[in-house]
Amino acid sequence: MGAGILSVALSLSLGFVGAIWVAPTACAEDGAASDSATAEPENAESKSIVLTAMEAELERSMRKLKNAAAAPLYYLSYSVYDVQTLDLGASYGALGYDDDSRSRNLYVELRVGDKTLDNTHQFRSQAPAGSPLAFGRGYSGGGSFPLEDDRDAIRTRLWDATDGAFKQAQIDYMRVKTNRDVRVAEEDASSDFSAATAVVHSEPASRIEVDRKLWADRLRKASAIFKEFAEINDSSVTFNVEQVRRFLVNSEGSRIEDNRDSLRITAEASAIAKDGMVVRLYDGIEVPRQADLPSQEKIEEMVRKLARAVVDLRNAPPAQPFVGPAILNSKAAGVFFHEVLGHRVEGHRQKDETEGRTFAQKVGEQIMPAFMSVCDDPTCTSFGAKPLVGWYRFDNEGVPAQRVQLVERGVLKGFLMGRSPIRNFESSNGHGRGAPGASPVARQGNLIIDSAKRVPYGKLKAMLIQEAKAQRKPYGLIIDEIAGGFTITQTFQPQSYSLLPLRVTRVYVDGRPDELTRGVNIVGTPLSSLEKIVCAARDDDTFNGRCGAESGWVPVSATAPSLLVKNIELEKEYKQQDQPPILPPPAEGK
Amino acid sequence: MFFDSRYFRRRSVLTGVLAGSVSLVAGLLASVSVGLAQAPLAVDSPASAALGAASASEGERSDVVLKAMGDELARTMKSLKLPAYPLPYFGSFDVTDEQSMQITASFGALSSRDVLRSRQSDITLRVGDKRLDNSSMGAGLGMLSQRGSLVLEDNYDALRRDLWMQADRTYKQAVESLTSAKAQLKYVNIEDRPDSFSDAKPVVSIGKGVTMDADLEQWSKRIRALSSVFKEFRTIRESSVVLNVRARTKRLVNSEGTIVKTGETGALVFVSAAAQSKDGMTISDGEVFAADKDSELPSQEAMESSIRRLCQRIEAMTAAPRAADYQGPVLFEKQAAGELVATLLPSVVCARGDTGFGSEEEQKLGKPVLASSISVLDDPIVKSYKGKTLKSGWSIDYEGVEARPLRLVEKGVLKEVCSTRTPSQLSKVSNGHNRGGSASPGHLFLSSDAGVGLSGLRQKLIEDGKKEGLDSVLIVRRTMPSFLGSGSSRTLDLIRFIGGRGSVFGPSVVYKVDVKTGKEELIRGARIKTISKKNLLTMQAASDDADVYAVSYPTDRSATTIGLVTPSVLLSDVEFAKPQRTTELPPYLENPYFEK
Repeated sequence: MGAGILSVALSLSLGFVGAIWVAPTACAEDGAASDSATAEPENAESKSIVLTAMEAELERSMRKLKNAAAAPLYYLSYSVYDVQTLDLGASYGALGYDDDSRSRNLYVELRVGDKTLDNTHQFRSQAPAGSPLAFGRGYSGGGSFPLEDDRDAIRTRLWDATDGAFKQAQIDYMRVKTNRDVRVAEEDASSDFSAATAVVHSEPASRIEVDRKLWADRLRKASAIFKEFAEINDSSVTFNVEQVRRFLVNSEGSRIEDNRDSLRITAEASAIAKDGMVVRLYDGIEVPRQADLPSQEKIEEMVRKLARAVVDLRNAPPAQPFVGPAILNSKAAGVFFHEVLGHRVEGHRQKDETEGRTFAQKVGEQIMPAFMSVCDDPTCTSFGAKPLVGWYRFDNEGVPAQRVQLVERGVLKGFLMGRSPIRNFESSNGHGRGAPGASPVARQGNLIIDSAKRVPYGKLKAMLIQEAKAQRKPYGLIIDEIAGGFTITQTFQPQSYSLLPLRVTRVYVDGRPDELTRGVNIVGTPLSSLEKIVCAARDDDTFNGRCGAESGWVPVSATAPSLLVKNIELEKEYKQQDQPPILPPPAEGK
Repeated sequence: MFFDSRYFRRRSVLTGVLAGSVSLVAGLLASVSVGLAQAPLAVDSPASAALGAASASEGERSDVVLKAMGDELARTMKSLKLPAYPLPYFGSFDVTDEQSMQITASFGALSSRDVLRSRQSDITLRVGDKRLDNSSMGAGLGMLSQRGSLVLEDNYDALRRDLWMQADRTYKQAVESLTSAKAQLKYVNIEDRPDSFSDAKPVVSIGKGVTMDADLEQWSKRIRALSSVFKEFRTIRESSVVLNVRARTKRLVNSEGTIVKTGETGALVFVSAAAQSKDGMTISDGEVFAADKDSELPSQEAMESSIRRLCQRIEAMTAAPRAADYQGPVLFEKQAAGELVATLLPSVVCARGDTGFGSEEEQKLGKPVLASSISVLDDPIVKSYKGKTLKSGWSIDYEGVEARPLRLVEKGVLKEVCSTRTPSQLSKVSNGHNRGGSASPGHLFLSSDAGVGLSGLRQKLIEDGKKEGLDSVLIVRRTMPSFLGSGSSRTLDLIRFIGGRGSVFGPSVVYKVDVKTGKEELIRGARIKTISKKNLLTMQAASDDADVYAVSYPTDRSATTIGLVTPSVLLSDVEFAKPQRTTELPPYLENPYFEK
């Protein structure tokens, strides 16, 4: 079967849809004094059982299966992700859920043939070749990997998954070879797999112990704040701890055991405007260590700020369709770049013949103003005081993370690369990523947008008014909260993007006070949007979030200054046709 | 389901029903006619929905959830309306607290271990009137009630808030559905359209909630050990053992004054295993242990030996010859009869809600649906059969209606059906059989007065085969337990069963019997091609081997476990298909564990 690289059936690359977590400027002040991050050393023997069992079965499989069938087995890797989560949620002062879960997910990548052509090669046909087979047998696996460090059970599962993957790979390889013979030559004749250096890395197991009772109390208290806001009809405050321990072995000698922890506090609230539009805002704090968690005061401050913002938004008039100048405030600018540029410089899309390949032929060309530069750097853990959640040491293919200069002075320089080579870009730069158990593809990590042309924010706003006047518009816009967005990169659909701004403010040219509005989408096509950037402010900020694409949800960040854009197009958002609740909220305590 | 006597004020009445139904079951099976004990409905008080009234018992007052439900329902009934539309004429709030534990193990190691808690609401609001409301004309299908989750904690304010928002959504949906139903009726004329809703007497019964108290560590050990048994069998390629223990506390309050709080518990162990024969065919089979409580599950030793027998069965099957196409009489023995009856019978004896376009075809009360030697009754209340415990049923159903034992089929003729408060062509009122949103049997009892025992049926099988000119006939001794199937097929007229993995009803152990010598030979891969309701008209049942089986029954909302009693049954003219031709190659390598 091989990896899901084989065929990517997803047509959308959804970015930032779902929850967002914003890192506050001061999240580490007094922390949670009563919690302690304990890194309990596990006993060395039990720690290595998973990896040694994986190694043993990998060695046996490579030795015995290498020439067991028509196409030779040339690469095999096993990744096991031990995912432990704690989820607490409260609304209106009561706990809504309180769940623990732990699972181990297996991903087997098995390649037959050789690097130039193997079973994972894109199969070209009228219809997509079927969904990617992420787990060994394609239809099972997933949650059924042993949770316990039991050598026999682990090897049995690996044996079964390998057998299924090997048989599927033989079938796929034959199809791929025939397919290549009956179709026209591909535009990009690159190999299917690149060489990579073996990595051996081991971190001790970490273990976050959380005081559940304390956190339940904190959430109850924080969520009760929404009771003060009668206009809000749905709200919650959540606390989520996710610990992932990854085990990876491959037939090139890599052997990795590492951890990735994340702790998140989020708040969400929604209200229904008089015209039936549901307005919903999120806010959140994500940190990599327990010691960095915010104090109760900070959490409550975040909740209160969110509640007031929702009420303001509910009472704001709906926005109108608009084409004209706008400032994308820094976080919104980050999301803008993530969608418009980031997804289109993911390496594997450059040779997928169903993809638009907007930038495939543009290396060395000017694609945005010369003062703009963009890189992706998963090796950074923070930007200033802010944690960057797209951080990692080794990607999901076991390749060390690298900083990649994507755009330098407006000129396209390179792509985000996993181990799938493309023309002129032979090797991985450590961006092969995926959700635990999913087949990795090239993805973003920490996208960092820089500008050599910067002015103070106040000046940028003055420039916005000037630009609006020049275009004979009554107002320009400031877009400063974005729920997320999505982008379409494939050829059989319009190759466009859409961002979902939550807060849009009109800045009038005639000096009237600014006016908050709600309910629009930003739409556009990527190439023209990037050329229209006019200037940036000196206020870099980071949007931390989750990005979803064919290899699942991965944590990413985007850091950018606020940007003035000459032209942006807004269209009306689909409006839910709900009336506000008929009855007022029930009276308290009766 | 059980009631705590402190709160259950009508206990004596119910005990009476219970006694009546027990004797009914015993009586019918012994072919002695006993008068049906109809539950006298003597409901205590309330005509007002609001709790906290003077009549509220200690149980009601101390239950914050019930109080929040009652108060918000009262407010809903009194004031929830849009200007041009009516208030609801009926409302019910249903809240289910569920605690569950699930442990999965394979080959001696756990692969999942979860303890979960949830609190779900199910809110029904009816607008219009009983003749025609928002549930009519399919408008309410799946949308009549709205489900949502509620805060887990017994926090009065937060609960009311959640209920308030959910009632609001439900009401808005309800007025839209009513308008749509009325619009359709202007253009469609329906003969004998049943009413939308029927009357039922209010019931007040406040039992005790239940909690899940199974020992996670203890069960982890036991399930791990059970899954290790497979390490003794080289031929088994895949196996898993799953424990599921749950405790549900259900609360129901409706605008007619019904207040019900009940607890129900269940424990299941599912075992499944698969092997491959030399030609690559997958042979799978399973075993299920069901009980009301985890402490009532069979002993470790008993389950282990059951699993060993399962492995031996699968081993024997991998070596057996392949099945061929077949059409003729088939004897379903014991467990296989239980699964067969559970799959075929409920659709015949349960009322189906009216979708507006007449759904119950030719089926009529007073017409034969089974062979004339066969009778069926249903009794959700009875607790055991001949000393064997039945999977627990209920005394009050999910709509808060008292359950009544039913004589469903007498000598092959359909007399009445399991019904809910949704009227149908076959039922005008509820007899307390709403489970998970639709009519469900409680405990089915199938019996025959033909006076033929199992050995007689086997003889009959061979004679029938000879008459049809067949060389051999089939006996199904086991089927894949329905718990392990997808469990959602409810196609009424022609149910097609596809054998093999994940099927709803897949025979596993099938014997071919030579009609001349009577010699039995195990065959593998036989699949049932078609069985239809008309096969039931020729069904014959043994009179001497009735036994208790727990089976999975799919309701509109979820699968539930029901207990049934049936003897082995013989069907004529059943079609079997030979195994599918495509199979997977056997594994290239041997399981590393056995390679050592």
